[in-house]
Amino acid sequence: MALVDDIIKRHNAYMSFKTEEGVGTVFEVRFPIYRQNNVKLNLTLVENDTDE
Amino acid sequence: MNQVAEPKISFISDSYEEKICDARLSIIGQNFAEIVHELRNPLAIADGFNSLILDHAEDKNLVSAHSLSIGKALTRVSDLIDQIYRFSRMNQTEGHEIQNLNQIVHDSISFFAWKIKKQKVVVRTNLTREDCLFLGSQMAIETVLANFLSNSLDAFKGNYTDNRTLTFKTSIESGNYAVLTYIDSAGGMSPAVASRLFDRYFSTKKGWRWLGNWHGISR
Repeated sequence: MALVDDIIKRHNAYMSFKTEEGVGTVFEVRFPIYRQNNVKLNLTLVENDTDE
Repeated sequence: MNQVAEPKISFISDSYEEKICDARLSIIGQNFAEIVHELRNPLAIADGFNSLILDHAEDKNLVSAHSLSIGKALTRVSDLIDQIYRFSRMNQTEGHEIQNLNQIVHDSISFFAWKIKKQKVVVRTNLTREDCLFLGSQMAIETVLANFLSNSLDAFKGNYTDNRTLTFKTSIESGNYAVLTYIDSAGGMSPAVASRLFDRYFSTKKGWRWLGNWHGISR
């Protein structure tokens, strides 16, 4: 799951989870939504993260 | 006197097994383009004969039903080959393009459909009708979903509950986020496991399986 965390960060996304032993788990992942006018900004951020 | 000597393989450590499995999966990944070509040829031949079979059938109703089933099976195999091929291509994890979250959810469920059916797991989807678009790598996000699915399905194996459910939801939050919610009823995690969930090299799986099903292929 460390890889999952890495992928999520490289997408400028956020992940949270709740788990209850004996019941189940809920994961929520929030991706910045794509809009025509923020393509440039998001691409720049992703490229910076990828360079780590 | 009559004891059969057990093969002494205990010296093979997990890390040795890991390296072998890793290498073998990598080789499959590297050669999958050629394997895909070999697989597509007989599929195309089968599809061709299947489309002609009705012309030569005496009982067209009976043959039509069988032909439809064969067509569906061929399409399913063809889709799987395409998905594995995309999954195994390394450079696709680097590109960041416009992605549709709903499509990725659909493809990921389809990829695991056989395993889901075999384990009698019910999949529920509640996908938004809005365009759930974001910038990113389809392969990378499919890897995230494959991890979720694989972990849940492994957990179901040792969990004898009748409630074997996986739920996928997508939504748009405040116009700013494309949200994926993934819910399983696979028994959850202990606080000790949950606290280390994202630690590098941490896994509850034994042996090389902690590497994940696609580790070698996705390199």
